[in-house]
Amino acid sequence: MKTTIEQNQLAFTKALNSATDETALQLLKTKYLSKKNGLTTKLLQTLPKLTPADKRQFGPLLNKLKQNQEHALERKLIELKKRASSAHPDLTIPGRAKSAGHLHPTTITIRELNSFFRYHGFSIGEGPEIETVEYNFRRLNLPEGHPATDLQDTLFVREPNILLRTHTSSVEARILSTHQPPLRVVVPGKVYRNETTNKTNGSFFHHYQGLVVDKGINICHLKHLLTLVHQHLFGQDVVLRYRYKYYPEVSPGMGIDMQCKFCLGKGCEVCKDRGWIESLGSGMIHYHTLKACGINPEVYTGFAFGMGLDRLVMSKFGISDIRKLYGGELVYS
Amino acid sequence: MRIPALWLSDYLTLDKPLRGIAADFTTIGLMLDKPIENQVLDLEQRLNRSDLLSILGCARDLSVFENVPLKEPKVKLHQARPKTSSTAIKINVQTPAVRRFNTRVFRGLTVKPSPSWLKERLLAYGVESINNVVDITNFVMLELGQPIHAQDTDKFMEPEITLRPAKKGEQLQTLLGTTIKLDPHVFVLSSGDRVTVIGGIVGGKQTGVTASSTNIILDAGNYDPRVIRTTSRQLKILNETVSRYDKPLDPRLCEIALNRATDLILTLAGGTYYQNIDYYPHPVIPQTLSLSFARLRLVSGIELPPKKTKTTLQTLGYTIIDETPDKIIVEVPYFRTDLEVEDDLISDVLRMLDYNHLPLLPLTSAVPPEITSPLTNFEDYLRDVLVSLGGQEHITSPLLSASGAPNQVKLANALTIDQNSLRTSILDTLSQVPVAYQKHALSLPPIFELGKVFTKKGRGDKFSDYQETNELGVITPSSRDFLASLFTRLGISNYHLLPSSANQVKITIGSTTLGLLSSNSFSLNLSLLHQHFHQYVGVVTEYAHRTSLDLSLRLPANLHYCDLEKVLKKTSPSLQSIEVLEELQGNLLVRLYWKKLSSKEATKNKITLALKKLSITSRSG
Repeated sequence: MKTTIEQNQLAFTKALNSATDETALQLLKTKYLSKKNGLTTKLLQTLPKLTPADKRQFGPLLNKLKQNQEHALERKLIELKKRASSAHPDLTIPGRAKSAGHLHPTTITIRELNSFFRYHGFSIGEGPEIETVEYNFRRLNLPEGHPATDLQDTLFVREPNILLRTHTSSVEARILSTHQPPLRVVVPGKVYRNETTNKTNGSFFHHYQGLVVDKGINICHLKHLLTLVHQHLFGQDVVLRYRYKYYPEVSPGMGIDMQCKFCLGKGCEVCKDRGWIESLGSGMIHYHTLKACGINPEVYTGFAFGMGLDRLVMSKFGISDIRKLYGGELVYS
Repeated sequence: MRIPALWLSDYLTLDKPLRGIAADFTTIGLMLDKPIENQVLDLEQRLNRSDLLSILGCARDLSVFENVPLKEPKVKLHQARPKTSSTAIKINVQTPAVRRFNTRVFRGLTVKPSPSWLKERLLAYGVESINNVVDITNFVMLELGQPIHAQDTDKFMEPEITLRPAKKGEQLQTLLGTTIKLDPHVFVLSSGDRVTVIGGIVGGKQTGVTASSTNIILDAGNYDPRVIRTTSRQLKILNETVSRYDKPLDPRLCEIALNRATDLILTLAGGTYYQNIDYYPHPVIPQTLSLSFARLRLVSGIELPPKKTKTTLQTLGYTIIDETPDKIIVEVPYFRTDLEVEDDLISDVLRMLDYNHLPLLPLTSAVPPEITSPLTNFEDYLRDVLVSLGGQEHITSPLLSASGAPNQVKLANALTIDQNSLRTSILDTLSQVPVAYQKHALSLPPIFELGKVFTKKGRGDKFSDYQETNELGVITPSSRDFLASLFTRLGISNYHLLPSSANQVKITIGSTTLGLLSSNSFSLNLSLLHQHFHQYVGVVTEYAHRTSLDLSLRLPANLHYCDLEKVLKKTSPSLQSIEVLEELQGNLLVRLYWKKLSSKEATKNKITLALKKLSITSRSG
């Protein structure tokens, strides 16, 4: 009996290995496993006639034989199907990319900045886009009649008090007015200006604002943090220049420029012969701003910084026209 | 501000190439704006400092920064002759815009071409040379920052100048020959009721100083900068005079500028000079500020020797009027009208020290409490989910042309009609994007945008009349499938689509409407979506072992799927979910799932009966 089982298995394996298509497999299945005349079926049918001792010995062997053959047939079938479908593919032909999900370049840049600032303990702030003159100008030390509040630059919803925010500093004013220090917050956001749209300027664009208020904050802290931001965005070898810059909402104010990568500071067309590219504006939050927002400037000091995001996004993604970014003309590869 | 190297060298000697000087100016706040041409620096002047619109003022800051002496112009003070009835020009001020109007009368001048040193300097700056008197007024303005103005008194109708609001319909022909129509918002100088000058903006041709002039009146005025700004914008006149009056000037500068001009006129044009009216009703009191060394240490982060601090401030023109070991009290010089607080003195000290010399100090204070709003975090998460579903993100400008809807927010001063309002739905502006894909011959993937939409209630007078809502918009031809996938990922299963209009359905959970869906788009209110969102879902932990039942049925025209859903749920409260496998012109293949169902046959009968009541024919029963 044992020999018969082994012979059956041997013959089955040989036939299985030489089977090259589904028909051959089907024939093999019928030959061994058909309910009436299958060779293996027949062997199994002899089981009841065996002595109890033989039953104990060969029963499990026979059952296993049947099971193994069934599984082997299934595996071979899958293998044949696979082979048929791929029929010797040329794997040196590159695949074709499918269109996939994509974040907007501005979102990608905001996230890059947010991840830096979150690591440094900052929260992400948010505020209204329709604003009041109070938060957009007055609390930021921009009194009535200040040139920066000029009607020409501001889009008003209802003159003279309700407008579309012209900078994310309005959110700074709101946060300072509703929270007590210590504070570390960044605000990415949409801003609006009454400007004619061209390649580099639009009436709608993005700002990225940041602020820190605590006891003992000084301008050297500002300088350090902004140096780290630039290294994060542009690499450790970025060369920076720090200069005095006036903004009404800060004193002292500070501007940061990056050395032009094209001319290494010598002056070229890209940097308009300056040798440097303006990067962002910042400064120690004005005494009057803190006071107007209900924070005691004798106890707390702080700094703020702000930058236009769109030029950064455009340079990172090689986009030359701001209208492409927000004018509904952007598509992804 | 343009600074010719030639002119700058009158006030200080620097052994440095012009590029290096430009770098110095940039460091102290005056950034080089344009490439250096013809030995002239063009500096961006965005400070609130009028003295930096004068070449002497710029030279002063540079001299302190470079630690070289400043050579101030030597001005000889001439003795004026007392005014007489024949020389006196009466001054009547009838407008509050005038803070000072200082005048001097000159007689017997010789108007002729300017000497070459004067011509060269003006030409280098970019101002045309006219004659010695006009050139002197321009020279003094550029040197000191105070606009001054000369008129030929022989061309006056009356020996008087009245400063008053213009009358409606009055006109003035300017020195350049253009005629400007005036109205009462503008204040003018008139003589014998004839307008001769638009105050602080531009002079008229009729009383201009020409080669034949011999008798003139010279004036230096100080006006409310807000009035000048509004008027110049209204008249669309921007010139050297306007840009200087735009920033606050100290009235004391009038006298200093007239002294300089008088000296130059008497030297270059001869003649005699007579006193005339100096209208100056409220002389300014010099400003004083105190600077504590502790504050300086706090803001700067460094220890600066008090001696060096004092020297810096003194060379910048401040006078130390009192001091203790802890602080100094300074008088602010007349040319600095920009100082508000102690920190502004610190600005000056650090500016002259050079920010590049400040150390980098890491923040060492404890990290403050987190105040990021949960909605902001949710939006970030949502973007990732949308992208994982194949969504491509877009950001569109919320500005668009007015739709006429009463609740739409319209702008009061938009430049163009295509951008005069704000969107009320995110789809209003996102819907322009598919065209771009068409242009690129690309098939449209699911596109989405997260942003604000704006509505107005009431009259819109108050800030609280305006509402901003964060919205998600999606455009895709398979909007229902995309919504279903999105909701699965957000752990939302209990939503319904209920009829709203012919082309749209409401996306609802319970009694809350989250948004609207049409065949190729949907929008969702993000705050509401956030309330129903579950983050920790999507992991299958056990085998389903569900019982299912397929129903093939036909809906009558007056019924929607949502009606069927309601009935099915009522007949079998243990029903877990329903899936529509196929839909074709009112024919639906629906699969119902139960976690456990005691009697499938009984349930089936119950359902068939209920459907019959609604005249729904089930073909699988």
